[in-house]
Amino acid sequence: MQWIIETEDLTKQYGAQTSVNALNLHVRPGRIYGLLGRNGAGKTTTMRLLLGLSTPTRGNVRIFGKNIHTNAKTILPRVGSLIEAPGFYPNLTGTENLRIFATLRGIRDPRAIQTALDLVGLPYRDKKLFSQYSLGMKQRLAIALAVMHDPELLILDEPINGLDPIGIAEMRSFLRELCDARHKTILISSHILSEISLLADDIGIIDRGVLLEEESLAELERKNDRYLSFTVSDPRQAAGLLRRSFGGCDVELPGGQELRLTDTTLPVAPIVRCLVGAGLEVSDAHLCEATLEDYFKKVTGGEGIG
Amino acid sequence: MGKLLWCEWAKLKRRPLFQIAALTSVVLPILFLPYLKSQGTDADATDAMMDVLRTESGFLLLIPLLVILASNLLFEEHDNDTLKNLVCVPISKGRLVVAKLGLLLLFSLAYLMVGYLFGVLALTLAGWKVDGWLFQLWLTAGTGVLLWAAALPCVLLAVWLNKSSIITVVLAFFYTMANYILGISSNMMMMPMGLNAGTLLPVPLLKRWLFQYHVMRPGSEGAQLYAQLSPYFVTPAQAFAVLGAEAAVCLLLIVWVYRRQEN
Repeated sequence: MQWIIETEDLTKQYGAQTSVNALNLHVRPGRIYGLLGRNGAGKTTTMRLLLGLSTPTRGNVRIFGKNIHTNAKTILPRVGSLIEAPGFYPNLTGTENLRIFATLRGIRDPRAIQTALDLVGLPYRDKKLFSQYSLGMKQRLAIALAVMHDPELLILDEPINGLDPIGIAEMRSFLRELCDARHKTILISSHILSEISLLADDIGIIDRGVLLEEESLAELERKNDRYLSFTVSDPRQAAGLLRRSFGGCDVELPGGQELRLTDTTLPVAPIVRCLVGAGLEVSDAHLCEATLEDYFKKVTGGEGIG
Repeated sequence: MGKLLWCEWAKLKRRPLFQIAALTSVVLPILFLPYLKSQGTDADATDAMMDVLRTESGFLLLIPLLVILASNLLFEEHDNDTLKNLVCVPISKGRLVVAKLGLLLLFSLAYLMVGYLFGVLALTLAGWKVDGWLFQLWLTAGTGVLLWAAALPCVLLAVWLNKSSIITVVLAFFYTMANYILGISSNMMMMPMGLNAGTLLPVPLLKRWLFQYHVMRPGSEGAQLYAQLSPYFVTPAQAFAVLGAEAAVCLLLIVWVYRRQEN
């Protein structure tokens, strides 16, 4: 199977507002796919559509090669999910909450609940009620629910919300391990660029309901702008000198004292020697690489992200 | 469905509303205790105690409680944001509604059974012999089922309006009072079986079924009323058929309305 999740022209409209617009998403097996977008970009709506929680206005969702709306009974038991805020019964403990869903899912392994709680670092048979949980604990319990039945696919909407920095790092390594060691496919949404760049193998950038870009992280990194930057006393003179000395290399003058060479394979030390030898002052020389945030800005044509 | 029912039961843990509701099953029978000694015979005492249980406790307390509890059960998934988890199991909204209302049916039966056991105990302690205990048990259990069916039109209204618990309480109050007042109206009781309010409204129909089992002393005021109403009494089959059909329609409509509501 080429894609674990595949959408075709997926569209969701609420009245005149289009939340998701002609989305063609492709998630490969055994990979972590990061759906990146600002708040309100359509990430949660997309995930709800994938799980059949909302009905699309137009288009199709195929999970494990089958249409979710006609095969929900066979697909959903193979999927674990966390959508928006964790939803549990406030009058029950974490263990009691999981027991309800374990019963409904027909989980026979009596240790499944304890194993799931152990995985997310929550105590088994704790007397604390869900209503007394911190936001981080609630989020952990939601992750435990998502993995309790050992699903092949995880669909996680902003799973690190509410977690402290240690919790975020733990969650990252936990998800990475699920993917690498247990070959799970994970679709994770976030508005936090650094998280996606640290975790995802493939990235989809969504903005105003439109999937603008879908690439592997490696490909995105390759596409990112890279250049050599020099701060010199006279950029114009330096540009002419470098063009003559280094075979008509491509030189940009963005303004100020900066000079840029787009060919990053050029050797820096001879360039600096050449400039200094011509009586120019070189106060800085370094390799610049656009970040994922820069790329995000470029793709979405606007401001940055959280 | 068994698993779903068990889960619905498990969700009630530490929910005082349900515990308080269950406790009210003995409130009216307790209030009736002082009048127990003044009854003339075993049959009179049994009839009076069971009447308090089935008509007063059942019509005035159980029906509104069923509406409030139903609303609470049906909206808890929205309130706690757990519906998405259930739908992803997957549990259909239709099965969920049936399980929740099934739990309420069990609650209704248990409510009257607890009241029945309390009544039997109170009668025995007061020195009366329970007259026809098995028949009374059957009447009480039957009333429990039919009162559940009687509450469903109001549950449908509460789900359809999708309103806060305060609105549900108000709805339950007016529904109960309207039914009770119509249930004691002889005009409403003296209607033939057919497409009329006396047949279609749940409590008047229930009254027309239950009233025929009252013990009447010849020549008493009650006996005259009994004689007037007797041509309009309905058989158990008629009562169960009409209320069963109404319950089925309400159930389908509740499922339909619940399904249409966004997660």
